[in-house]
Amino acid sequence: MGGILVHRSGGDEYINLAGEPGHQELCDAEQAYMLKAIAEDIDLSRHMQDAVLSLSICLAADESIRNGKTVYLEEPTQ
Amino acid sequence: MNKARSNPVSALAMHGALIIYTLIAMFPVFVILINSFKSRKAIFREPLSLPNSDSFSMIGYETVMQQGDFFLYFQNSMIVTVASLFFILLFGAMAAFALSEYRFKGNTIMGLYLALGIMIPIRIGTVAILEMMVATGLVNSLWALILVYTAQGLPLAIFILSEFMRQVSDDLKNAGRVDGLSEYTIFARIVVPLVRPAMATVAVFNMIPIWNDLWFPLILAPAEETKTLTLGSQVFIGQFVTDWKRSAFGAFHGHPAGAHSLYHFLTPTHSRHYVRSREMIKVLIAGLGNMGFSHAMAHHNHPDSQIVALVNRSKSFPQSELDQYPLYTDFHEALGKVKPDLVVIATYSDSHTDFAIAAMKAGCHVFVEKPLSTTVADAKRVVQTAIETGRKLVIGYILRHHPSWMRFVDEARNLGGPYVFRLNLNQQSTGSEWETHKNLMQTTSPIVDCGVHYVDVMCQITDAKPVMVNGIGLRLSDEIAPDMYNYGQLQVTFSDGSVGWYEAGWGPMMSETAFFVKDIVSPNGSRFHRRWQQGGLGRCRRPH
Repeated sequence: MGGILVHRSGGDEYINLAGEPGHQELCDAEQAYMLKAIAEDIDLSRHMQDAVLSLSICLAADESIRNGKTVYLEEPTQ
Repeated sequence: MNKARSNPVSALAMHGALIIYTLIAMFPVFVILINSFKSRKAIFREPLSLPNSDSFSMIGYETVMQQGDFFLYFQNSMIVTVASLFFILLFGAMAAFALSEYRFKGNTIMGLYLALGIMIPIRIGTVAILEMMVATGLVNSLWALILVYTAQGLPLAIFILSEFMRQVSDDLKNAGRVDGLSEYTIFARIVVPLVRPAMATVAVFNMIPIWNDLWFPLILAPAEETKTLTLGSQVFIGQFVTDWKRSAFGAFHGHPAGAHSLYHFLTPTHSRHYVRSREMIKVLIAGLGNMGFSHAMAHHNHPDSQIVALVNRSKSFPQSELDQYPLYTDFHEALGKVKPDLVVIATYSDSHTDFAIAAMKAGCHVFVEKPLSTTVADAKRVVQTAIETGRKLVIGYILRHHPSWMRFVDEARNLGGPYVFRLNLNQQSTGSEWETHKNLMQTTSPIVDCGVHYVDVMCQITDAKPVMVNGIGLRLSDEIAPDMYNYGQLQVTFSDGSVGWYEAGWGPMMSETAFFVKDIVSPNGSRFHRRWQQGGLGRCRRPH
């Protein structure tokens, strides 16, 4: 079992997180979310935007590693 | 008396043989009975084991009680079978009596004509029968079935009974006539009692096909109030999935000698008539690697979705419950043929873009494993297609559904930015794990493959956009391609001033010191993830 230690100037707080889910439970949760998104017409624009952003950061890092230069990301158009 | 008859050894041997045969004959019934008390998973896991505290489940019985009125179905089957047998025996015996007793013109021809019916299957006349039933308004009534089954059973009944009636002594009948009995009394009081064993044979021969018939109930009387048990139990057998618990229940309770249930178990499920009681999301699963297989299992067990097909480049994947679904090797062929509502894409990364766009253009919602694409331009194209087609697109960021990470993100957002993100995952891998990592590195470096998950965590916490990225990396092994690196680190700056680093390394040489840091610092404090278990998700693995 693990947990989250929250440290503030006033003092520390430890949040226990019980029951780590296994691989199959996580996949079940992902697919349940997919079905829910269809059934309840959930807005996924932030979800999709984050996916593109995190991919662009990782690919930029890959590029930077290969050519040794800092990559400046243009402002995403969407 | 004869001594050999009471020889205990031969009696024992005879009983032994009979008992063994009885056990063999009873075994399918026994298997069906024990499985009717188990959960679906337990039936597949260990079909022959007795239900125990883990696998015991009354769900099959509960569902049967809820879905459909099985007592009514049973009653319908009973009425149809008993009434048909009654008419077959009544008319069959009378016709047989006339044919065997009286000499009249055309007697032989008539007998042959009636016997001809044994050779011609009644199903050939289905269309004509249906037209007649519609014309007479008998559709969806039990009479339609009784009439058809009576016609179906008569030829054999007449053939068998007339042979037996010829053997009834003429002296007996003539003695009756001399005593002034009418022909009807001779038939009822003398002949019928003497041919009773033959009538029992005819009854048994006719009963099983009538009880088990699916064809005519489906065509002539499919209405709810006239359904027979065989037709009613088909509701649980879909084209691609079979509800074994409930079938086991139905078979056990509904069919004589378990014969029909064996038929259920032996017939390929996809050749069956497809009946579904509720609308489901039809799912096509592409790619059956580690992730694809788990996604398929998720849909296999989800009540609101129905897998319609699987796609895998090779025909081989682990034996499992998924064997029951149709398998394609070509994605586009499957997409065109099965017309799914949702496509789950867990193939190799380089096919994600094309498959996702093709699926959305075909009107499907899409779940695609990470990475969404291999280039940013492709990723944007996929997202643009989702926006244009109005389809739902979910990307497989598994950490977003992990309760600990969800809490972590929430806590961090509560602190407020700007943030320092300190995240890494180094994996000291050896043996098969290192082989897996080397396979992955044929296309993708660790910092990209694993990194998208953790950088996605950063993006979820800060609402700001990334503006600047730096990377360093090193190839620490000769076992990977010259232009690949198995250790990498990135630094990212966001437009709100937040900064983050992420580090990923794979291989036997990796250090296990501070190998899994999940730490967020903000002006108001810090969030630190402590001692998470490494199993399952903690280790970042990929479809293959």
